[in-house]
Amino acid sequence: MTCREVKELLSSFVDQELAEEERRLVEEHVKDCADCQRDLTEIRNLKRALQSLPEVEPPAELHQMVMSAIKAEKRGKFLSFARKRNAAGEKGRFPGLRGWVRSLDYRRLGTALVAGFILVFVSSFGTYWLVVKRLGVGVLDSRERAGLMGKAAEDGSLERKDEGFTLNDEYGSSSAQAPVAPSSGAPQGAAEGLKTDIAGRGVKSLTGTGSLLPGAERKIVKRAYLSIELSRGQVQRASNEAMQVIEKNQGYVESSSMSRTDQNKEELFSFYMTARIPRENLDRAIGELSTLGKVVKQDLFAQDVTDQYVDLDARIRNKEVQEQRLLKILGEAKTVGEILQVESELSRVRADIESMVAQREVLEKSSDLSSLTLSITEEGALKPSGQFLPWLDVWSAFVSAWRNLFILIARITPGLVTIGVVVFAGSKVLRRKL
Amino acid sequence: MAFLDEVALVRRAAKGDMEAFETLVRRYEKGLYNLAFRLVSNPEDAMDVVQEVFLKTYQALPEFRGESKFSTWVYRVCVNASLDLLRKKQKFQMYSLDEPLALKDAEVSREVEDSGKRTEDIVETRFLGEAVLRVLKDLEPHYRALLVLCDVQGYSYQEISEILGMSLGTVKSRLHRARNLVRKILVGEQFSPSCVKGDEGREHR
Repeated sequence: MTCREVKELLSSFVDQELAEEERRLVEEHVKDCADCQRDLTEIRNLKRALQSLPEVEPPAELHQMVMSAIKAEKRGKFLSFARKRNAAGEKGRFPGLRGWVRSLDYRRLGTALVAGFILVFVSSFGTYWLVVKRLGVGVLDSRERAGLMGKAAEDGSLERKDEGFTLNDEYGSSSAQAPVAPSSGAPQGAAEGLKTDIAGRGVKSLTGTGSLLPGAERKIVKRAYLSIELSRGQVQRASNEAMQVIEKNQGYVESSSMSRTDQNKEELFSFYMTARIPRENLDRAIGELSTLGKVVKQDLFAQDVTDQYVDLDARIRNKEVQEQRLLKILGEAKTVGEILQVESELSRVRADIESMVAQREVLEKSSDLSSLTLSITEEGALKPSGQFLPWLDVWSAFVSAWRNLFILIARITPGLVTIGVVVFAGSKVLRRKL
Repeated sequence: MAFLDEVALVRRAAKGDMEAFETLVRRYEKGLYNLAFRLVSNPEDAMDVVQEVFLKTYQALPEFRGESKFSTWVYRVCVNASLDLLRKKQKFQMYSLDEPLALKDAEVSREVEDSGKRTEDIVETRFLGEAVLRVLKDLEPHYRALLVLCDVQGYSYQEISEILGMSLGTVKSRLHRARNLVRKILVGEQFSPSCVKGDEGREHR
């Protein structure tokens, strides 16, 4: 055996890792070869030096530290998308953001995303199903309708109470009201008619002021919206009947329109009208109109304008007194200058009175005559193709759900990032302390 | 008997039995800490390494098939974690055995030069072990791991080859080279003034 070969084996020899035969050969060679022997001693000493390194005692807190880290890991396991670290530790820890991205368990993350997607989809479908199938037509429509129905019912009861008042009062002051009725019945009363009317009102205001005291007579403006659905080809007939109903209830039609749309090669008619009906006949008219077809929507609004009315009335009376005084002054005027001055003042007051009277007129008219809006549509006119299209609604619900989710994410991200940074820094500091 | 006991412990721990896992931790923390300490040569880092080793082990335990012994596995994880930490910590200069070793001014060739001086003269104190490890710090981490496992921890070649995942032959030849290199450096440091200066510089780091 050459020295070179032996030197190759010396290390293993010292470690007692040589086969019996090799060991013997090396032993024999070393006995005679000083150089190899020196090498052997050196290696032995080296090994001894390392072996003599004392065993160190791990810090007392090591065990606790390890166990708490593992418990923390166990707790955080469920929500962690970090890939299980390679047991062999080839890559070990992944430092930095890139490392974090690389450490993501894509399978787990993907599963979570898909599950979330399905969950949102199913829940939006479920919500839609519940609302549409159980509650009514459309998601928004039904809600709107429920709210408005409640409101309408409230208004109705309020109105009924008020009508008790009005009725009594109207009997009591019928004489005073009498001259007013024709002028409000004919809105085109013209300028000269207006003047006589004002004169009459002036009398009234002087004699029967009591009837206009606040709370004595409530002025209520009522508006009703009615929407009716009919089967095909019924709209023309129904619109005629509707007009008859309005006439029968002493109302008049302000405007009406009949329109035709082509949809899916089908003609769809719809009718729209606004009418004025004496307040006391409104409920009856609505009842009669409701028999024409399926009521899709019915809204009632009531607006109390009594305050406005009383205020206006008082201002008119003031102005009228002022006018009387001016007229008296005019009769006593001596010079042309005086006359002109009083005349100009008088005409200004007159103009004020007239504009306010016109306003009061409008209020009176709208409280006496309720407005009624009626729309009649053919079945299918509301829904685009006349057939049940759940997927479209599901899709829109789905889209809006995701949109909301993204908005939510966008809103909470800054907060989360801040919290994350704080927690990260905190944990670093804590760890360093340990 | 101990081996069978350990297999059962590992199986229980894999099923989430914290008590079993804690027993394993108690059994290995000292050995792992010593290995890590000798590899990274400072207590804080060694603690970090041990914690990481148990974390990794805990996470991967359900996938541990028992192809190797549990001890081999944890030691392998520990070596890798330590080497990783070293690599990360000090973007240290790598010395390769295949190239001539540059020690500041002096250059040491790969062959052991016969300076006529004996390493045994130097190899007297038990501080030599520390000196050896210090020297090894600047070498490829695998050599350091080899010497620590073999000499400090006293593992057989077979076990080392399993822990480091290399063949028996590689273990053998690398140990041989590592030892020659250490001898060479120690001799050089002791007797060449320039190298002594270099050594001081190293110590101040």
